[in-house]
Amino acid sequence: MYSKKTLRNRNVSFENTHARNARNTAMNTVAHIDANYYYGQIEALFRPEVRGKAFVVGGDQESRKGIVLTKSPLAKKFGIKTGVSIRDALNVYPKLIVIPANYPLYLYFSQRMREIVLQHTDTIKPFGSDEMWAQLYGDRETVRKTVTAIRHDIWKQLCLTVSVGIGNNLPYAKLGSDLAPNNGVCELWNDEQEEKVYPLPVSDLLYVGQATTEKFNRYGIRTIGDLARTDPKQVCRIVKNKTGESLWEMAVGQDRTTVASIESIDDIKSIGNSNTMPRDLEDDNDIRAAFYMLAESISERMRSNGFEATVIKISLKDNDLYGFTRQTKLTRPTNLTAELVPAAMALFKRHYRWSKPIRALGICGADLIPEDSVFQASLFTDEKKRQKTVSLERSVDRVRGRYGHFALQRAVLMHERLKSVNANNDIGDAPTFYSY
Amino acid sequence: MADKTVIYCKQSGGPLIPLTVRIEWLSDGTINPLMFWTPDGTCYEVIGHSTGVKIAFLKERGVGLRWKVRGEIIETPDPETDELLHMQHETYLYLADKRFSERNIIDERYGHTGKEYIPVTLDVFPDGDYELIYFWAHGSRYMVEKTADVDNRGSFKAGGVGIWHKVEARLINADNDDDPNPLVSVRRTAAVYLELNKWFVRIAETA
Ligand SMILES: [Mg+2]
Repeated sequence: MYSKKTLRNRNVSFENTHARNARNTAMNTVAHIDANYYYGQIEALFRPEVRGKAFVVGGDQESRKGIVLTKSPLAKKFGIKTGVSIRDALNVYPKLIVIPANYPLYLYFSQRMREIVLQHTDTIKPFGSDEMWAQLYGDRETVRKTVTAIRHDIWKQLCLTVSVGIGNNLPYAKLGSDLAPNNGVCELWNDEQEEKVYPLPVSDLLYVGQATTEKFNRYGIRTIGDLARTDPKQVCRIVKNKTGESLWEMAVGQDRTTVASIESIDDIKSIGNSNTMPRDLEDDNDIRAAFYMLAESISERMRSNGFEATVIKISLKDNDLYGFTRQTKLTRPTNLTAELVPAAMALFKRHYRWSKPIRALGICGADLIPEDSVFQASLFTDEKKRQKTVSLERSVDRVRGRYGHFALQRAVLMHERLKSVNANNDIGDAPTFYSY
Repeated sequence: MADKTVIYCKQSGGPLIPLTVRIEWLSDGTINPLMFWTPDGTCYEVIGHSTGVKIAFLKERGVGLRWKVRGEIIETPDPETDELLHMQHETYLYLADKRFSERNIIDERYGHTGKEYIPVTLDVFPDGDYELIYFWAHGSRYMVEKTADVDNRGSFKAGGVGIWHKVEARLINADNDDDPNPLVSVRRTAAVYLELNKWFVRIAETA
């Protein structure tokens, strides 16, 4: 939501694309912006009575059900960890205040935060609901000024503090925001990597999970520097697949991921999901299965946030990494997988001729509107039949909420090699990016 | 937004008539139309209306608010047309702007003493731009004399975020719109925030 005045004042000038590309290939500068204890900060803003106290967001105080999603700094000091059950947290500190999550509010703040950053740069890549990378331009002094202005505006407009990492590539910037204090900045430039990055534990690196860390440790790779000094071919042998090469590139600061990419479908008023597939997709059936997998997670998120999409976008990359994005207006607003997938398929068939197998696929519901809107057009399909689908998909949400994503899978997903990827996992074998 | 008409009335199948609408925006987020002006200067008083319905406009891709209203002409542009006075018309009134149909996300569970949700009165122009006319704070009614600044801002003290309006206002007689009581004619600078679907306020006294 902008006031008119803000829109008028939005006269930030940007370099043209050509100059920017030239710069990107030389030395890229990106920031990673991460809101501090996000849900907690938002709740504390609207509840002055809990400020400075030990509280957590998530679950329910009375029934002691659910898990801790975010903890306040004081709750953290008392040893309460994210992910533990509310019951256990209350056992650790019985006076703990438990605040149920208000996802629509957090979604609103995510959108606002992205809008604010987009007043200072032209390209962002959202990562989860409270983090994003932002493309920055100019020399280091200019970059520092931009970052200060972004932090200032986020505080002024949303009363949120953020941690910011700055670097020459996305993984270093992310490392930086992890190292930065709350409401602080940490710069990790490539020319300082020996002193600042290499001594850090290898597990700090983006996408190096517990399993990979253990594998590395077995080969004596404990720090990012250890990884950087290992032959990339050896890294591939250790992790037993081709991602070894890209992990090594991340360690040495040569990761070539750009802020604008297939994953960041540009409309910030959208909910999307995309994934690099575990294998190349070769025919329409593969594509349909993949769309189902991706659409289930976005329709679930739209429903839990009370939104419907009026526009659907798809994005794809073939195995030469050539990609494009296409969009179309939906015949009626929806948050149902059963309606999103046929629309995505039709769009895909209209624009892709199967010259190459598909490597990565994305689907995104855009131009979101509140679910409780009344519609003017009366060109609906059979409304009774649709209500059945609505309640079916809602009960699927409930079962999954209780038993996990694998409890219910569509028949089409039982396609052996695809079903092993849970589209709702934050980080699988390949990065999954959401734009909430 | 500036070159688009988003505040209008329209009968089904009929033409779209741009309007300026005076609305009261209650502290619970409810919006009621009070009066409206057609482009020729005719002024209608709303003597009855349905509850506002949140609506999505498929063609224009927008969202907004709609009422069915009954309006009575209380002022005509020139004396020649005085016989039109007291005529009544029924029509659909549209505020086709997202600002008027935001959801109530920041609801009762966030109530606290540092922040007061308040009723305001606005004039909304055909392009969606608006002007604050009155607001209530701490049980008193204020008339806005000037809106000095508008910006996106949060208030950490009050615990809220939204579109901040810095206004110069005057305490007035609550019962009479046209006769501000000179005895209580205290001027104040106030910060009035539109937070999603509701307005809240903090008042600071000026010297
Ligand atoms: Mg965070």
